[in-house]
Amino acid sequence: MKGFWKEHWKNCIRICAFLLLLGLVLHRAYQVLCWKDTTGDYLSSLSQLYHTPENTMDVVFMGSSHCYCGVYPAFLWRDRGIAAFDMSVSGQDRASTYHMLLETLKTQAPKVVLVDCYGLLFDRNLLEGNVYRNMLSMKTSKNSIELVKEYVEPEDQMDYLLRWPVIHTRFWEIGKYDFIQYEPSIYGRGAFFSWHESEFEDAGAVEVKASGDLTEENAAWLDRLIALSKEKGFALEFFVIPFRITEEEQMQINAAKEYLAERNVPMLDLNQCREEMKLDPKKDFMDDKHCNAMGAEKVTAYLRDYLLGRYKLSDHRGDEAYSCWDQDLEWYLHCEMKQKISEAESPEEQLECILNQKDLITVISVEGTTEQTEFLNPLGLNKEDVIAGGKWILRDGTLVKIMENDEGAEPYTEDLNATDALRIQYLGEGVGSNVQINYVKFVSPYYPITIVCYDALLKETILAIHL
Amino acid sequence: MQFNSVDFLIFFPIVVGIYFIIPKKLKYLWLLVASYYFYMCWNAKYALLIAFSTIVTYFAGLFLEKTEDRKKKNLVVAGSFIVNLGILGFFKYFHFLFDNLSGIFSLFGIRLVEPAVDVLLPVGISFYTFQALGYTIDVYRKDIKAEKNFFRYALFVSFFPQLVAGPIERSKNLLGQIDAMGEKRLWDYQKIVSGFGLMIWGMFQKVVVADRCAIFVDAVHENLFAAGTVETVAAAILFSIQIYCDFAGYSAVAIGAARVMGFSLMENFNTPYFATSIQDFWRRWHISLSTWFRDYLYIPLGGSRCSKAKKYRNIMITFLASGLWHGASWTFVIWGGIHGGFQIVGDLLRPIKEKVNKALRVKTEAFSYTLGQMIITYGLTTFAWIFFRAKTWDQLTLYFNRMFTKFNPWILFGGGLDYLQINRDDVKIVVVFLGILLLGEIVRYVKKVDLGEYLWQQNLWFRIGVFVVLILIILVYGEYGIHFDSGKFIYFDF
Repeated sequence: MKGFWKEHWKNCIRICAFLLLLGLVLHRAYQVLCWKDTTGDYLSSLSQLYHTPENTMDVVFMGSSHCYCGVYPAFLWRDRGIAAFDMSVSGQDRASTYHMLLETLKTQAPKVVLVDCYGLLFDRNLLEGNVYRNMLSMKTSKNSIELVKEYVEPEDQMDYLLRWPVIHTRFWEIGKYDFIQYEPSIYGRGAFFSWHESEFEDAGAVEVKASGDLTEENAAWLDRLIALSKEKGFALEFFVIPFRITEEEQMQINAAKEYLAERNVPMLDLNQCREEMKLDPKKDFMDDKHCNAMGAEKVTAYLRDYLLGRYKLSDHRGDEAYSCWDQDLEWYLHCEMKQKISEAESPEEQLECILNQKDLITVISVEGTTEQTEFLNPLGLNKEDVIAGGKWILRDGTLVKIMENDEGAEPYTEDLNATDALRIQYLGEGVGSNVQINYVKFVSPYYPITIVCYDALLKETILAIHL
Repeated sequence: MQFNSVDFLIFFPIVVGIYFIIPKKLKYLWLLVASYYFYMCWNAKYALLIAFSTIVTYFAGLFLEKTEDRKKKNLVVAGSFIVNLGILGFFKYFHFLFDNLSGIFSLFGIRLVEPAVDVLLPVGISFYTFQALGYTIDVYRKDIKAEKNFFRYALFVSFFPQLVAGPIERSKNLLGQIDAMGEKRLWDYQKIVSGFGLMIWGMFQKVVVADRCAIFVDAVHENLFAAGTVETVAAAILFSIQIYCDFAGYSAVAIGAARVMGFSLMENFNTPYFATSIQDFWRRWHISLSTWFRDYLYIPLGGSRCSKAKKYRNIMITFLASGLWHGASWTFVIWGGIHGGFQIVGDLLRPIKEKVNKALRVKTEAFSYTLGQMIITYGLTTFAWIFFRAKTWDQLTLYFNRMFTKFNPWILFGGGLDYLQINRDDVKIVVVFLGILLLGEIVRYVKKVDLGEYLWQQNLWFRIGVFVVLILIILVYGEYGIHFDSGKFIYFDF
C-alpha cells in the first residue's frame, strides 16, 4: 500500500482536484436549479423558515394554500406583535404536514400550532407541482428522507431523494431569482398576498351537521400529531379556514371534530364563524377555496382574538430578533400600495398612493409646456419648476433635480440595486420622456409630464404616469 | 440495470473499488459475480439462459479441442449452434415465425391458434449468444485453445460492460485478457482516466444527444398523419443521429468501463457517418457485429473470392441475416436487404462511376469529392434507417407517403411545428449539442483515437475542464429521471 501511494500520490491529488472542482460546480448548479417555488413567484415558506432566527415563533399555522391565503401573520404582527408563521405549502398533504412540523420544531419552539384540516380531505396531490413543492423544498436530512419514503411511490423515491433527476428539467424555466435570492423568501412569514376577487353566492354546505366516517389514515394522522404535541410540549389545535365546502367534506370535518373532542383537542371550524367574522362571499375570496387579502384580514383578526383569549402571547415589536416580522409587514404594505395604485381611478389618486411612502424612487420628467402645473405640487414641484422643465428624483421625501432639459447634458444613470438600473436623459423636445429602467423605456412623446415610481422593496416599477 | 441509471452509478464504483483491492486470483471471480448481478437486475430468471449457453459452449469447446475427428467436431459445432440459436430463435423470433406461418397457412384456409406462451426477449441475448458461438468456431478452427477454467470462460460470456449490447467480443481478445488478469498490473492511471473520459462521452451521446433527438423523432412518428416532407426528412436525419448516439454511446460507456478495469475491448464505431461508401460505412458501424458476420458467415460462404454472382449472393445473405439479427420483423430484413443492395449496386456501378469521373475530369483526391461521397453515403444510410425505425409496414408506407407527397416548407416558419409540442428551447439545445457531437466526431476522425484517449493526451486543466462541463451538461440537459421512460438503449432489444 505504501508503494502504491508513493507511486500514485500525484494522481491522487489530480483526482481530488477534479472531484473538488466537480463538487463546486455541481453545488452551484444545484443552487440555481433547485426547487424554489412553493406558492408561485419564488416564494418558499421553508426558505423563510430556514432564515428565521431560532426560537422566535410563538404561533405556527400548518396547512395548504388555504392557510397561506387565509392567514396573514403580518396582521397579527401589526395589531398585537404576535410572532406567527404560516408553515404552509400548496397541497400540503398529511405526510408533508407532519414532517414539515418536525422540520419547524428543529429550530422553533412555538407555544401553539394550529393545523389546517384540509389535509383530511385529500390523499394525494393531483398536481405534480404540489408533489415537488412538498418533497423538494426541505433541506436534505433524515426528516426529508422519511417524508419522501412515506409519500412517494417506491419506484420514484430515488429520483426525489437525489433531487437532480427531478430538478434538472428546470433548466428551461430558470430566471433571475434562480441566481439571486428572492428576498421575500427570506423575510416573508409564509403568507401569499392577493387582492383578486371572485363572487360566490353561498358558502357551500357549512350547515351540514351530520358526520361521515373518519378514515383510518385520517385518524392515524390526527393521533400522530397529538402524540407529537405531547412529546414536544406545544399546544395543538386544528382549524378549518373558510372555503366553499361540499357536503361530503363537511361531514368529514365533523367526524374529525368529534374524534378530536373525544381526545380533548380543540378544533376551530371557521366555516361556522362566517357571520361572526362578517365574511362576504362576494368580496373576501379569490376563488371558491381561498380567501383574498380582505378575507384574510377578517380571518386573521378572528384568530388573533381567539388566540389571545386562550394563550399568553408576548408582543415582540421592537425586538431586533424579530426583524423578519417587521420586514414582512413592510412588504405587505408595499404590496397593498401597489394594489391600491392599480385600483386608483385617476392619476391624482395614484399619486396619492405613493406620497410619504418609504423605499420608493420616483422620477419626474417635465418636457415642453403643460397646463397641469398644480398636479405636481404634492411631490414638491412648484409652478416655476414645472414651467422650466427638467428631471427630478423624489426619494424618502427629498426632491432632487437631476438635470435640465439640455440636449448636451450627460445622461443620469443609477444602479437601483444589484439587478436594476435607471437611466434618465434628454434627447430633444418631442422625442420622449427618456426614463428607462433596465430595458423598459417609459416613452411618451405626446405628453410633457412623465412620472415613474420604482419600489426598492418590491424591486419593480409600480407606477408610470403620462400627462 | 442500465448505464444511465442511479443503480449503475452506485454499482460501478463499488465493483471497481473492490476489484482493485482484492487479490489478483479473486478478481475474475468477483467480476463474474458482479456481471451476473448486473444481468439479473433485469430479470433474474434469464440468468439461467446465459448460464446454460455458457455451459453448452464451454463443454463444446473442451470437446472440440480433445477430438480430431472431423465428423464429431462438425457434430459438436452443429449441436452448439442448434442449441444456442434455438434459444435465441425461440425467445426472439417465436412470434415473428408464428405470424408468418399463420399468414401462409391462412392462404390455404388453415387457421393456426397461437399457443399461450408469453415470450419476453431476454436482454442482450443476441450479443452473448453470438459471442459464445464465436468462441466455439474459434476453438473449432484452432484459432484459440479451449478455456479450461469454467469461471473464466463464464466471465468471458457475461462480462458486464459489454454483456447486454456489445461490443461482441472475440475470444482471442477478451478471453486472453481474462486469462492474463493474474499476471499484469491492472491499476493503470492512464487507462482509468481515458476510460472514464470515454464513459462520460458515451453518456453525453446517449443521455443528451440521442434521447433529445428521440423527443422530436417520436413526436413526428406519433403525428405522422399530420406530417409532411419537412418533418419526415428532419425525423429521418435525427433518427440517424439518435440511433448512432444511442448505440455508439452505449459502446463508449462499455469500452470505457472495461478500460477503467484494465481491459481493452474492440472498437465498435469509428465515425460511421464520415464513411465514403456503404462498404466503408460497415467498416465503421457496429464493427464487432459486421466483422462477426464477415468472419463467421460471409467468408465461410465463400466471401468475395468467387464468381461475382456468388459474391453478391454472399453479400445479400450476410446482410439479410444481419437485418434479422437486429429484430424479428420484415422491416429489419428489408433494411438489411437495402444495405446489401446498396453494396451490390455500388460494386456494379463502380466501372461506370470511374469512367464518368474520368470523362468529367473529377478530382477524386479533392476534399469536395470526399465530402460528396460522405453526403451521398449518409443520405443512403439515413434512407435505410427509415425502414429500421418503422414498427409496422403500414407505418412505413405512411411515412413515405408523407415524405414524398406532402411538400410543406412553410411549416418551418411562424410556429408551424408547434403541433409537435416541442419546446423551442429544446430545439436550440439540440442544435448546440449536435455541434459538440460533430466536434467530437471530427476529433475522432482526424486524430484517429477515441475521445477518452484524446483527452488523456491533453493538458490536465483542459481534461478536467472538459470532464466537468460534460458531466454538468449530462446532469442538467440529459433526459433522465421522473417522466422519462424512453431512456432504454435501443440496441438492448436486439
